[in-house]
Amino acid sequence: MRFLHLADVHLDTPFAGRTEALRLRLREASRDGLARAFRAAVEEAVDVVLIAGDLFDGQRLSFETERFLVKQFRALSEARIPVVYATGNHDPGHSGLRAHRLPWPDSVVVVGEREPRRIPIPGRDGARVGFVTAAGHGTERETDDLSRAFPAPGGELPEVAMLHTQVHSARAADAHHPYAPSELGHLEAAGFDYWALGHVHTRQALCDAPPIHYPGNLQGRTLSETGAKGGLLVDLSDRANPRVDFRPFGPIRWETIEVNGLEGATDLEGLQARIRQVWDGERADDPHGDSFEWIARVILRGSCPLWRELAIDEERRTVAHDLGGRLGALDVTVETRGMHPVTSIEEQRGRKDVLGEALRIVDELREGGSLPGIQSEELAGLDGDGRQDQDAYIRSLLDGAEGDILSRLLDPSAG
Amino acid sequence: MEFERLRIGAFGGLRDFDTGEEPLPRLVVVHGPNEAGKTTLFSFLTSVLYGFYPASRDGNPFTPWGGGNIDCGAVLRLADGERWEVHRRLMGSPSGSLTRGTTQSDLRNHTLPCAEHVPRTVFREVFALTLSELAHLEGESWARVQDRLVLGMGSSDLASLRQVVQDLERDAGRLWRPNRMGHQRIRDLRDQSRELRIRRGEAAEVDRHMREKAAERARLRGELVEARKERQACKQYVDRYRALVPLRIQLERLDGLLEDVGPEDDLAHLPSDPKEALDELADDAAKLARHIEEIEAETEEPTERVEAFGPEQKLLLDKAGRLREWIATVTSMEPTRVRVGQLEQELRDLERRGESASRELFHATWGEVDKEILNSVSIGDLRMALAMYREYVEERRIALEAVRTEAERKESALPFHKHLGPALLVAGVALVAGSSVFLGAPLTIFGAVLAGIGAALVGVMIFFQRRPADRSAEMAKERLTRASDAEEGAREEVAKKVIALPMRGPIVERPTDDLANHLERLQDVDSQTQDRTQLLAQLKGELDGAGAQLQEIAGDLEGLPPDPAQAAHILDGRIREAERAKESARGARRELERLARDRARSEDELGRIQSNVTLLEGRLRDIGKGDLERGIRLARVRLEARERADQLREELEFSHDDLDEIREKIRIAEDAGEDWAIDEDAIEKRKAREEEMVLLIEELGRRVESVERDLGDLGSKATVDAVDGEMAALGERLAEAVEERDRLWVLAAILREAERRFRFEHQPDILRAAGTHLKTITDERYDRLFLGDDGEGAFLLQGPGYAGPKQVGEPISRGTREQVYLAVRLAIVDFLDGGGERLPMFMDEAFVHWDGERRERTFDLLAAASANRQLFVFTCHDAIAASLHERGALRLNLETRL
Repeated sequence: MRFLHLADVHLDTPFAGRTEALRLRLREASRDGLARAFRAAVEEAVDVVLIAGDLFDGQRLSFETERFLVKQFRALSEARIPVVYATGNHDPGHSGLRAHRLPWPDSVVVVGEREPRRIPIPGRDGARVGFVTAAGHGTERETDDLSRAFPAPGGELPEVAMLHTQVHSARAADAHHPYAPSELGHLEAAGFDYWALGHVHTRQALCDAPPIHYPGNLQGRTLSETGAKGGLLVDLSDRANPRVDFRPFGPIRWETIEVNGLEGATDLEGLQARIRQVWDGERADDPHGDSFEWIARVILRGSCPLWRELAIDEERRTVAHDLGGRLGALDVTVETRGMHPVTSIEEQRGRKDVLGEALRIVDELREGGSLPGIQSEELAGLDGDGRQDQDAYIRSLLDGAEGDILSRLLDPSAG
Repeated sequence: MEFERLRIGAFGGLRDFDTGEEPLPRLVVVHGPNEAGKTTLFSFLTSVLYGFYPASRDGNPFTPWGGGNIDCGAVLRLADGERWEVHRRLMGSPSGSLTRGTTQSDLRNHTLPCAEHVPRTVFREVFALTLSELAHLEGESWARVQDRLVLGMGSSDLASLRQVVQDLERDAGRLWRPNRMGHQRIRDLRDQSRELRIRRGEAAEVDRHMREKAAERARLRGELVEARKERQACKQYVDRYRALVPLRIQLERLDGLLEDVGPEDDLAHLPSDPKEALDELADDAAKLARHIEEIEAETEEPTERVEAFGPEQKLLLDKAGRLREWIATVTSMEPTRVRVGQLEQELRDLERRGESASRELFHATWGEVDKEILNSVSIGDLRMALAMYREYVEERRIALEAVRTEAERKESALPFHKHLGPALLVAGVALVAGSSVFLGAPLTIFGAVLAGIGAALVGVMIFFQRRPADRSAEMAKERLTRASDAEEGAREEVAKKVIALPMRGPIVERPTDDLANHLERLQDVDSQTQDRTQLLAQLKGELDGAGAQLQEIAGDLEGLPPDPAQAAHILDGRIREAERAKESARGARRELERLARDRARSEDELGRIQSNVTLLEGRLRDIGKGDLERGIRLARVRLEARERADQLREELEFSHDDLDEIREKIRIAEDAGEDWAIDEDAIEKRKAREEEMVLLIEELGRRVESVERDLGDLGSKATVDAVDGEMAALGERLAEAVEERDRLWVLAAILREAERRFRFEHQPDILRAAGTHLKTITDERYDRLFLGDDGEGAFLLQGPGYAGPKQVGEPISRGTREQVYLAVRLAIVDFLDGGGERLPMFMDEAFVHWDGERRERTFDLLAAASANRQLFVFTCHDAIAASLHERGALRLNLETRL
């Protein structure tokens, strides 16, 4: 049995791009990614496409997206490729909810309830090639371990399990709500040939034997979701030697690079050359780096002769615009928080004046100290009114504080 | 550290200035009028300690006014007593030297090691800040001075802490404040977010409308489809009775004709008139048979022509090339042949000439003459011999004449027969000689007898002559004898030359010049004969070669004469004839091929016609059930029916493009059992309904278009996901703004806390010391100096002579403010260089606004302070200088203005 494993497409995600054009492109990118994936399924002549939840981002699905979705599924149906779609926490499947009400083609099996269903998968010639057992989220807050209810598989054909779940030990699982939590050990012992998971957006193999995989989301949605995004092409023709290959489908990639060592960047050209150097270094080991549109965040750190210019929004936008052209990116943002004049923070920290004192206070706060003379109501973004909450919040604001103090307190007019 | 000696070669307006070897004391007052060089001297002292700034000759304001380079130096004594000598120059670039004891080091433009613990800028602004400048600072500037002097501890590389904190709080306040005062970005963003939520609701409403419109469009399209179906049904009904019924009749007639036609396969490809077609086929077959016979007749003549070109001719033509070459060769040899004939004729002529000449000379034929011997005779020698002989003959004739003359005289004594004896003798000798060659022995004997008789007669004659009768006769005779002998000798000489030749005797007996001429001609004849013979042989060889070549080429050809010329003539004729025969045969073959093709075609055509006849007759017999004539008749009838059916179908198809569809409609209607009877009422009702449907379709179409327009309009409005994206973007900006605002606020709080801590840790000492100094200056009117807690950082004064804390500033007098800052300054410098060398302190016109008592107390304070630190006081007031001098200060007078 050969199939395409997708998850977390999140159609109609409200992307927070800086411009309307960028947001529009990002919305299109999710659709483009799904269309690419389905084309790949047709080209690869897979036996079935599996979607492990969160096909769309919320109950509200735009009219256009709904039409697009149905059209794509019909195209897959015309290619005689069935789909098994298990709902997730973003697209729960109870009757009355969106996933339940969409006019799916007959070739799409929607598993929208928590009770597992075992679905036979016909091959291209009509003969059965395997089974997919899947359970879906009925509601937005499914808190039970649904994997426990999966029946033990058996028989001569490959058996695949599909679930939208947060496996406790998964990487970056903390970034997601702990819905339908499951234990890796139980999945490993369940007897399936492959676990097709969804929910965690970071692509990863939790286990190789049996293969237990998160394909990650189809298209990165924020600057924290970096790297190539797509689906997994799985071949269980030889059950003893399953093959799992990643296929990139998301047309846009998010990337964040942190650039240090800017002491020699005395002009814009030198600054951009240094950024380009770091960018190229990141891309050198990137096997999928050539065929994407990019949205990049460039964080400039440390001391730089251009700190004063880069503190101005307009200057940063100019640098970002130029970088966008040089990197061939859809959008580039340049952040300079903490950038400061060319001097050593460590040396400045030893001063016997108020500057040295301020830097030492930052150290104390990082180490858990409290900042006197400030009230909780003075802070616009503080949740909670306890001292610990306030201290933690202040700590969260200290990124680059030393550089900001230096850049503000050191008098540039001093000889 | 203190200055012991100052030396200026050139510095600004000062030249050749030297304080001398006497060490300067700790308190020095520099007195001079304005522009006398006090500021220059102050800069000189700073440059000695810290080097030149700016460090270029052109940029430094103290480059000597009259030209040249800055050249200055000083002697310093450090706290431990070590003595340093400093020398600095500023030419193109700065240079300097430091001598410590006996060791000199390159100082370049570096700060002296003993001053490194206080930065240059700090030194200039704290150790050398003029109080007159401080006195003019008001309000905000006071705060800056306090920052600089107290919070920054003189760190001149720091911006005003107060200003920085205010900037941070201002920037934070622009983003958000706990109150609603002023413009706040975060509140703006939150307002925008609320607006977006409203827009999102509107977008959701648009989405709902779009779905409704899409559903309406689907419903309308469905109604449209139904209306079109009904209109089509009505139209079909009307069509059926208006168009289909007549058409159906025609189609039925067509079907009847087709029924008469019967199975179409029977008539497939049948001629329209089978009988006529059969007759035409028979005629064609007969014509073809005749044509084939004609072809056979035409074949004979070319066949003969082909056969006429036989193997011999082929062989001849095979060799025609070489033969033509040979014929050409033979033809070219015709002159040779003629020449051969000429040569043969010439040889025959020469033979005749030789024979003729030979007969005159020889007693043998020309052929018998040995040509080699002949040619060996030298004609020249012969001519000489003949000439000699002719002379001797003449001499003998003369001698003979003489004899005869004598003889005539004694004629009578001499018998008549006196000549007989010699004649006989000669004849006999000649006969002997000639017979020995040609006549044989009998004549030789006869000749010998004659010669004997002659000799006897001669003897007798001689006898008679010798008679002693006459001496002269006798001498004549003797002369004759000699002449005869000589003649004979000459004749013999001639004869000897031709002795090998078969010469006739008389010719030898009496040789003449003709002998040489004849022989010469004969030699010429022989020579020509040899030349021609040789040439003839050569030419004949050539001709023989041609013959041999012919034999080689055409040895297998019969009937050729051996003569090459004749053979060439014959061969040329034969070749031409063979070529004509070949050409004729080739033409004949082409003709035969054409005839063969014609025949094959004709035979094929004949076979096809016969086959067609057979086939047609067979099909007609089938139609006639075995009877050909009946078959012909029936076929014609059926063919005519088909023709009419075709015409009818063509007319129907011409008038009805969709005949098949109509036929299908009729079939469906018939299958459905439709009534084909015409019902006009029903037709009218259906027509009316069709028109209703047309109107309804138009109306539905308009409504669909309207709905699609609405959908287009709705689709151009913001969608929910777009507004969601905008909200997300706004939310991100809001979160960033909140974070940035709180960050700025926290940074401001950090700096405030840093200020508080620093003040807490360091200000008490400084302010305590400053309060002590102020107490001295004000004679205990003020004994405490401290900073207020109002956040403004203002100095407050308190003392026993004053009721409560008093803020430094208005309305405190300028003199008091200066006294406060002098006190603070004295305290700060002790703090700043407390860990290193005490650097000199400079004061410029600091006491002008002070009352006399406080100034005197201040001078006492300075005198006391000079115990720990060298002090330079600059003043233009003689009283101040004098007062300080009284307290031990060295007075340096800068008397003249620069």
